[in-house]
Amino acid sequence: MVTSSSSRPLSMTAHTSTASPKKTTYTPNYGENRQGQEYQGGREMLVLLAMIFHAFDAFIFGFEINAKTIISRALMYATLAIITHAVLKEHDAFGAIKEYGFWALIPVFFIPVFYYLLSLIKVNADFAHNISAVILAIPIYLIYLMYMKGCNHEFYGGWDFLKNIVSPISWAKVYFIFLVFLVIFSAITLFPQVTELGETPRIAINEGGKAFVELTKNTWTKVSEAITGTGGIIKDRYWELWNQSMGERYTGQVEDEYRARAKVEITNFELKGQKYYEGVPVFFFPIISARSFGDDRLRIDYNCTAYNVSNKSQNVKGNVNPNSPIIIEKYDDVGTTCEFNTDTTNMLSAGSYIVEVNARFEFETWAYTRYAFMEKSYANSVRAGGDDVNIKFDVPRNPPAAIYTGGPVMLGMNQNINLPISVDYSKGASFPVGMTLENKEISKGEIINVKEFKLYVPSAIEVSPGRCTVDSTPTRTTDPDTGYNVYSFSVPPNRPKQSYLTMDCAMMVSSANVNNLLADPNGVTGATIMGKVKYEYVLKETKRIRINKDPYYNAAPTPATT
Amino acid sequence: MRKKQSKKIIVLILLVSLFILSSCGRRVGPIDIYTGTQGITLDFPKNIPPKKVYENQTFLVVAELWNKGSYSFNETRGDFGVVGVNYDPLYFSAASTTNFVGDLLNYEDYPRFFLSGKGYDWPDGERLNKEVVFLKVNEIPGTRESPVVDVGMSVCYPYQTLLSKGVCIDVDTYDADQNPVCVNPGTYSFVGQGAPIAITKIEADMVPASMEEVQPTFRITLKNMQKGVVFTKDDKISTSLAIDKVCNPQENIRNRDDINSLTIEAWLGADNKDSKLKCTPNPVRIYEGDAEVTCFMQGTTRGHNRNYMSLLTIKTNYIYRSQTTKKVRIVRLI
Repeated sequence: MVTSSSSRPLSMTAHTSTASPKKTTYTPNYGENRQGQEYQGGREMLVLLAMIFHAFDAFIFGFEINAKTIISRALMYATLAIITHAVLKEHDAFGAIKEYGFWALIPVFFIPVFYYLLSLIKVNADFAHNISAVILAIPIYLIYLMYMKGCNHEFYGGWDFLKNIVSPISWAKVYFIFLVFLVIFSAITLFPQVTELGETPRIAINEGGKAFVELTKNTWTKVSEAITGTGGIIKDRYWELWNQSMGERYTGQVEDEYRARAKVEITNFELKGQKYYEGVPVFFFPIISARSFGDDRLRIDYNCTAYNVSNKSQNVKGNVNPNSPIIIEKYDDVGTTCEFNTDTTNMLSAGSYIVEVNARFEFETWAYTRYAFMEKSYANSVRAGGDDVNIKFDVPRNPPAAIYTGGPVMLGMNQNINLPISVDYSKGASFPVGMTLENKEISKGEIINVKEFKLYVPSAIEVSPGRCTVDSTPTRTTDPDTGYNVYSFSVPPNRPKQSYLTMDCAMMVSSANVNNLLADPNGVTGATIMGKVKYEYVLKETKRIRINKDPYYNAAPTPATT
Repeated sequence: MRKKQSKKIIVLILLVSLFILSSCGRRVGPIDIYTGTQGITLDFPKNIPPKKVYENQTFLVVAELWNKGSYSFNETRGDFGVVGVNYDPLYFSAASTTNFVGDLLNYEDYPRFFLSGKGYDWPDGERLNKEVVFLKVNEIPGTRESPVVDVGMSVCYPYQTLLSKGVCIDVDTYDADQNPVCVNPGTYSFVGQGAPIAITKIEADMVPASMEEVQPTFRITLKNMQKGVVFTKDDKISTSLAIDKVCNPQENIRNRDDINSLTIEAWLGADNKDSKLKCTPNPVRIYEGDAEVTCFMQGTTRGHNRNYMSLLTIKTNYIYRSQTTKKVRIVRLI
């Protein structure tokens, strides 16, 4: 610490001690440094610089955390820290570099740590991601505090700033202003990123005033959403980032209904009457329809519950008939009853309720796509003859959209591959395969747990060692029925349910396996690649119901005593 | 009464003449077999395989072959065609027409065939329905209910394009002959010679070599008229070996230069060594379906200032491969 000079004007108490000069504390006036020298715009410059860094991070890196950007971002914030220290080192707010180092270098230290954590937990990066992104705000917050302190606010910056805040109200006020600033600033800086992602159409600058008004309006909408926290832009952005980090989203198309596609549905969940009163039985007759082509029987656990809208603790479990679980062999429509106000355990008092019937079951979805392979020198010779291989051999340029079986989830597969894939007798072949699992938007439920996530490839095709996302070392087995190689990927149980899950793998055909793969070296060999996902799913249907007070109804019937 | 009798006689005569006129008989007159642009066509019979098959069923794959061209396979010469089958082993298991052999058919099991081209015996070419393979439908893996799967067939066969055309050898360099026998038109155009590879154009040039001599030079354009792939036939080995070399799908060591290339032979006049033209480049590469080769007489011809007609014969032997597919829906038995 620097000892205060006696020649400067003092407006606050200065303590000078010859015994321990390092203990001397001094809070300078606005516009002064610790020596009382005029301080010309340093804080303003730092705030501006921090904002620029923040904007740069948003525009260039999109707050993204990956191996490519992490070093650049760490360097960027470290630079900010060093500049801040250089500017404020004489200022009392930062008595020592270690203090600033603690606060300003936190992100520099923690981003790689969180990134490492992210890689450890593989897919559940959202927590680490959010934390990392929040930490990025700390240098800005710190600089903001410095600025406010410089403006003679009632708190003390630096190492002990929390202890030295004069009153909790002033602290809260400052913190609130900072949060509003941060939210607005994040929303503005993130806005172009979001438009780029297609959420809002990008507006051409040359459309003049109208475009500007539109842009402002959109920005304000985004900002207000962010402030009110209703599906805020930052949250959206985080999910976008999450999805990006999870890889591309592959799609497919559900198998055409030939007779009745695989499914589990709740239908006929409706109220038959108009008005309901306390003590008067209420019946729902949901039908649970299920069809599966899997080997296992379908076990469906179901229940119905009435949630009181005004008093959430007052939830009533309805009686169901037949008893849960119900077992379905292959295909059945099971008519069920969900009843309230029929015995002492399921009485609904007057009020509004949301009645939910949910069915929990295990289901599997399969996806099928077809790749085409061609012997390399043969394909090249045909091309050398000026022929288009795809036209000549009726091969689509990309794999067709994967066909996935019915059910509540979509299982898409990668189509961004040029067909036919060239296979060299001496070198084999390599090509990518990708698979995306996603809860369908139209599905009224969610995936509870992914139990199996498997890729089936012909025996001549293998996964390149260590070259898969989600799980770099999938377990390999052989399917006894088809002879296919089966790769099982472990999916972390805490995968965010809002997001899709994409698995990408580099596949290879070794030279030893080329003969097994190419059935016809003078033509095109097709191979079906399959994906399988087995999951636990909960399907939900809700209905709102109002129970009216019945003036003639006294109380719930007392249980019979023996 | 007499009138009635004469009417009856007239009707009888008319009926008899109608019968005589409508009697069947052999087509008379010459048939030009060297027309058309097709060789052997390959197709699936209408209901084989059926559009819909069930798990665990076995069905027959039949190739409908038709030699619509001019070239006939000669068993003694070693010419034969081979039919191959291409299917997804995930959904089907193959069995030859005699016994099951597993997932993929061996080349030895590929059915061979002989077919006559157009001629007096087969004015439209010989047709044949050839049993190729039995396919057993595997159980559908996973939970897919009813996949639609391709079943493919290919045919690989030797063929020949042959053109004989009278061309005018114009030796009258000075136009001295007031009444020439013929005049060189410069270009001869053709549609096809009853083969998938057609000679579509000949540009004839009589290059003056001396006062009374010319060197006939022909620029020949060939075209692949179908969608198949053409391979040079290796004349150094027997025909059957040459076919095996190209058509065997398990044969992975081969010269890929033989793809899309043709070896041309041409004669001017008699089909003998002396009248053989020198063609260059030979073999010629087919690019974007077309190939151009120049054939010229190695010496010169003297016509004593009189033009004359001569027979230009162009021949190319090759192996041709084409394919076809049919979609089959597999129905799960639940």
